[in-house]
Parts: sequence; structure tokens; C-alpha cells
Amino acid sequence: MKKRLQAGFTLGETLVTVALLGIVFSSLTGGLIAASRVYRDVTEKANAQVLLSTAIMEVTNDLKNADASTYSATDYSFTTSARGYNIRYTNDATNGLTAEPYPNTDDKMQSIPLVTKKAGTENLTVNIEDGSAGLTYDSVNKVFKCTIVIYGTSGELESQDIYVRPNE
Amino acid sequence: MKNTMMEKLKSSKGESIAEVLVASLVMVLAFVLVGSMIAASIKIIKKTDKYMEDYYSLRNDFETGTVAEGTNAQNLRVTFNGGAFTSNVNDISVIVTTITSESGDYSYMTFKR
Repeated sequence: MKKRLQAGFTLGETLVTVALLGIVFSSLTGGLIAASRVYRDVTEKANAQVLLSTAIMEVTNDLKNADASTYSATDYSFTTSARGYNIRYTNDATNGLTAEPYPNTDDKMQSIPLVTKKAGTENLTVNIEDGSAGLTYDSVNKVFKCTIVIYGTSGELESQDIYVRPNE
Repeated sequence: MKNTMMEKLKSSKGESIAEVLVASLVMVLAFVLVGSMIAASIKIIKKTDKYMEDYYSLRNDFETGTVAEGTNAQNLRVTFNGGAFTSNVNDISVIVTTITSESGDYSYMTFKR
């Protein structure tokens, strides 16, 4: 009968193997955690860029079709043919940047989020800086000005000043 | 295939240096691939950020009527098509091209009023 080999590993060999495995696993875990964090940040940033472009496109559409003579520097409302009634921008707690009918003489009129939840991404919010007061009109240069900000879980991700000259 | 695997498992011999090297090479390639993909994503995001910044900056200048013809700080060439540009002109387009030695000039963005 063939004799089975009884020799095992020495304590030194075992300890070296365990130490090497520990180093390999800890570096692998660290690398994976870093990679997943970078991936999450990169994805969030990319989504914020898309959301910012969408929001700017919507705001530009409203302001391009705005009647600048109806802009009120006290309640920041204006009429836009893009919607067919007087609106002002507000930051809704749930939906973010919203076009609110103002003054809302007809209770049936609903506030409309500029970027719907479907177009946006979870955990990202689009706001107009300084709320309603953030939209100003420069009557000398004939341009509207506002700043659109995208917030993520870690705070502000994107911010962009935009100037829009309404069609005459 | 099954027999070969069983033989390998029963064998008390170690792996040959060639096998160890190939295994290490595969692992290194996988790590390099993942790393380069992440690096490429970061580069794309930064490039997009710069493009958006340039785009909205020029668009704001166009809207306010302060856009100037010529090469600007971002190494973009701005040319007017349709006469001199003023804030009150309504039929004009501004063509922006990049100036790079690598790929030559190409159209970057166009604004039309």
C-alpha cells in the first residue's frame, strides 16, 4: 500500500501565507471600494450635466418666448407664450425648479415642474439660485438672467449663469 | 477535461513558472483595464465640463451682445456671419471653431438669432 505523505506546512510557511493573503485581500478591497466610489461620483456628475442642460433648455424656452414688458421686479413673474399665462419660478421642496402660475387667479392652474422626475435622476435636484428672486431682467441689455444649480447628495454639483434675450 | 482537472487536483506538484506568469498577466490586465476605464470616464466628464463652460459662456456673451470676433481665451475662433454683430441685430449667426494642431479646425458651436 502506498504510504500517504504526512508532512504539513511549517508555522513559518503558514504565517507568511496568511500575511500575504491578508495584504492581497486588503489591497483588493481598498481598490474595489475606491473604484466603486469613483464610479458613483462620475455617474452622478454625468447625470448632473444632463439635468443642467435639460433645465437650461426649459428655462431658455420660457424666457425666449417671454414678453419682457410683463416682467415684475417685485414678484418676479412674467408672461410667456411658451405656456400661455403668467408664471414665476420657484423651488419646490419635492420637484425642484417649478413654473408657478402667478398670480394664480384660477385655482385650477397647477404648478409645473420644469424637469419631471422621469427626466431627472434620483437624489439630484434642480434649483434656481435665490428662488423666485433669482430671475432678473436687465432692461438696458434686454436680457433675463438667472443661475441654475444642481444639487446632489454631497451638495452642489453644477451651477451655471444663463442670460436669455427674449424674442422681439 | 474532467480527468485533466482531477489529475491536477490530485497532483502534489506546484504550478510551472509559465502558468504563474500567465495568471499574473491576466490579473494585471484586468486591473489595468478597470483603471483605464475609470480614468477615461473622468477625462470625458472633465472634457464635457469644459465644453459646457465654454458653450454657456459664449452663449451668454451672444445673448448679452458682448461676443467679440477673433480668438478668445479658450483658444476658440469666433467669426460672424451676416455683418457686424450688435445686441440689436436679429439676423446673424456666430460660428465658433476650435484651433488645434492635432485635428485641425472644426466647427464647435453656432448661435443664430
